[in-house]
Amino acid sequence: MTNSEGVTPKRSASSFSLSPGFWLKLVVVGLIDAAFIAAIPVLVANQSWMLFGLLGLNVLLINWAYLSPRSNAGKWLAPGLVFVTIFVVWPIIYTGYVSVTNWATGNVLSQQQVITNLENEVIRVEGEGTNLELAIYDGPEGLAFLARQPDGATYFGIARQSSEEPIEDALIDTTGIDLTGDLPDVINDYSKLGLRELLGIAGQIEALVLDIPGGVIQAQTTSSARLIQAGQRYKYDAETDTLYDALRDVTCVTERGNFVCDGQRLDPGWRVVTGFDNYQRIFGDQRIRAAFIKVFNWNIVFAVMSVLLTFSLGLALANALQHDKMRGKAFYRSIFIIPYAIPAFLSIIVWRGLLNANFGQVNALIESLGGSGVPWLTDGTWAKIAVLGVNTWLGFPYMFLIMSGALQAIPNELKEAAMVDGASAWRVFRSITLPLLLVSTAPLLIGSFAFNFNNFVLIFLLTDGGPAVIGAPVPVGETDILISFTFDLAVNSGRGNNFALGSAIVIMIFVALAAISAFSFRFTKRLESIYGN
Amino acid sequence: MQKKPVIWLALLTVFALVLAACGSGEETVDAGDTTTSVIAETTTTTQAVTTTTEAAPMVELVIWADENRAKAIEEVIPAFEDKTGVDVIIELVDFGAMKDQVGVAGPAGEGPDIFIGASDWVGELATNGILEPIDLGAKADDFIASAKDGLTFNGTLYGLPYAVEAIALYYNTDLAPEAPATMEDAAAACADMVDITNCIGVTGGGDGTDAYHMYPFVSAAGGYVFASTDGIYDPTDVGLDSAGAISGALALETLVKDGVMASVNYDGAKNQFLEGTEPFWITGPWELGALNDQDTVNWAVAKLPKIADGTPKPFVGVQGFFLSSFSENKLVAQTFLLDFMATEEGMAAMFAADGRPPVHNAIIAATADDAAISTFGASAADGVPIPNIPEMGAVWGALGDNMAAIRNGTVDAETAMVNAATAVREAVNQ
Repeated sequence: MTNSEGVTPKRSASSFSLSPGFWLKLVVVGLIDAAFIAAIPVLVANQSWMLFGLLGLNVLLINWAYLSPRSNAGKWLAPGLVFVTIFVVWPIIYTGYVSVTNWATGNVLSQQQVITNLENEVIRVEGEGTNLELAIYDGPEGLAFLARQPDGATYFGIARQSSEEPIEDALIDTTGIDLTGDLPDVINDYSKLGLRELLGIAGQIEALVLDIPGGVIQAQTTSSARLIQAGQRYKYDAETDTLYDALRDVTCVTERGNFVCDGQRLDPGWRVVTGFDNYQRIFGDQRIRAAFIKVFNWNIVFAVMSVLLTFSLGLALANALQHDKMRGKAFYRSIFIIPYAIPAFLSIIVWRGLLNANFGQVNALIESLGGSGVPWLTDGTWAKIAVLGVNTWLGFPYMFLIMSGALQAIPNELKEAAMVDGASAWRVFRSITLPLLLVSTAPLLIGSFAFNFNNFVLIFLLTDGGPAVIGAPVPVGETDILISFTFDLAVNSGRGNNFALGSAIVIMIFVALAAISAFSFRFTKRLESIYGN
Repeated sequence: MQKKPVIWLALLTVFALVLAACGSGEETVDAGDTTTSVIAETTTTTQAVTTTTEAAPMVELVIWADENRAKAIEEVIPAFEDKTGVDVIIELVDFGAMKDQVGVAGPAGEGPDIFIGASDWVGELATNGILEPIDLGAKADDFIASAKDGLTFNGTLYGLPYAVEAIALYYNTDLAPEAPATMEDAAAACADMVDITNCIGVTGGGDGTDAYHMYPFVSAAGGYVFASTDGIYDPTDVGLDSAGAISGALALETLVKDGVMASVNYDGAKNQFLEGTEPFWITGPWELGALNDQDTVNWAVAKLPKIADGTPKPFVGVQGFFLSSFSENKLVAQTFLLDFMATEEGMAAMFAADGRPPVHNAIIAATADDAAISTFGASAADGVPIPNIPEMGAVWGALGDNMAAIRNGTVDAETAMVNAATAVREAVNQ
């Protein structure tokens, strides 16, 4: 809209003008709605009601925010809110959901998938029965199988759909035809199909069987077959929700995501909601509880110490570089940034090598100075010191950067006034610089605490939680924090993976962190009300 | 002015519905198009021999493999495609991520028909209902028993093996011209050497907990992880604190106390061997490439030296092809596996590209001249399959940590093994 002619653009008071912008808005919102409507069948088919509700809410929010004349602020908030629900709220809800299920090795499918899986199982005849030669022929009455057992016995007959009733006289008489060498190309009216043709109708062949006395023959590849006893092994009865096992002649009942036959659990199982079992296990199971408390304590110490150490070192260096008599500031600044500039996962691995007790450069240095080697990563206490040391090395440049900026922002007049009143440098720092710094940087410290509380990368790459706590009933290391402990527990539980138990611990970490953060922010608010402008 | 929003909303709804309808409409049109073109193609190519009246849809076979193994099967696939008209699609998936990816993608209907993996995945994937059993049929006798055992879970074979791997002893022929028969011989040989930093390099010490490389010490005198009968493991029978396991651990403790086996991790052991300051190095065939690429060290491979008078039984890992139970082309997939891969040509291509000791009898015979490969093969023949039951998850950490404690001298051998066994028992019985 140019106003080259000095005419003000036509804009009615109503926001419903037919301007291009409005149409654009309508189209974009319409596209979003269309995408959601198109997704509904998929969501319903997968029974993802939670995601359905969440997306629906978001779409409603978008429609309201951009179409209602009464939502001025909504227009600006809506994109943020949508991303918050999708990337923050949804993962938390989903983790919460997983934590009340039995999702672990053996229970990953849906019940329908498990039933399909089990009903596909056939009762096979072992030994000779797994090793039949097969040729498939096409003729006037449909497809015919010719199967030859290793002992030379041959069967030739019309194949039927495996879902249909058995045919009494499926076999065709082959007396007089030589079936000992290569299988013939033509038998009576039937001609042998080539590989290419067979694979074209592979889906059809899979469903076919040939009835012979004592069982049925099923194609395994295009040139080999196996003998199975007639019928499928398992049959599911939807009415009673039970499964019949024809081989052992037992009826299996459903119990917490598994079919249980005669007290024996049948794999695979499926995922079901089992309530708060996982939480009960964390508190009720002495093995896990003892380890959990030990890890939790170290986790708090680790996070607090990490923040304190990086904060003090960063502040001290920033303060030193503030001094007027300091020379070569630019040089030091660039040096201090290095640990921050190198990708953390690289420098952590390098540190792991440097700290190696036998071949590491750190011990080589200590030994060349006449000291004796330190078991950095193999002794519990030293490993903790090493973890904190490396984390301080990694984290202080960030604090240094923040503090340099924050220090600049503190008015010099305040300090000068205090000096004039006779305050010592330490007193000025303690009573003026530090409180004012904390007002502006406390949220960052809380953020740093929360980050270090879950600093999985550092622990995983530096010590992998080790050294192990000797004699502990669950695999737990001296430097394990909750998230690395959870990882081990979820990935290496007694029987494969246990995602549900891992999720339960993650939810507890979330609750603990949320509580600590909420408390800290309240504390910051008090600081602000005292020292804030 | 108040009415207008209603009109716009109505208009919007119609617009959205039309769009959504269009979206799904287009898909069907697309699908139709491809089907017709495929039918045309198939009929023209099979015209000469065709006898069936039905038009066949194009068959696709999706194989997941990592970069190295994909190269191997790519050599076999053109022949298969030419002969069968099946369209084979190879999708590259990182080997380390494959097990989890298959477990998620399969049930979601987006997984492969076939994937290439390792024997220690079998228990978990089979328990989860992801794997389809495989009958080798007449081809069963072409493969060595230990390879088939590794892919067998609860008595059922779940894969087509193509390679085995187990650790053996690399030795520096300049420092030690002859391979030691026992660990004591190795230690004695080192006593005369100068300028060596370590005698026997095995990962599993320091920060390098490694139950896999330490297992020969458990198994040499009769120790075991889980007892098994006919390939079916009993997770309640844990043998990590059996007399045999403890005497193996005591032998390890002696080696550590005598300073023969420094507390090293994987890179420590490897670097020292490559620098020529470590005469013996125990690890697997995957390092053959690194050794062939260097010319500092003259080396050879031997079977593991005896420990506590017993022949060590290293863990044997088996690499193989697996068939997904969610495959919709099982007949095609099994034809590919049994009629094309399970042949001498298929297995030769896998060996050429992968380089691990083969499991097919014909390829074993053909590679008998390769001393390193046949030694690794012999070491695997001495070994035991890595138990592939899901309970093994509890063993790696517990056993690795406690063996490392022996290596680091923090716990005595007997206590360490009892601790390991107790931890596994508690985890399994929970």
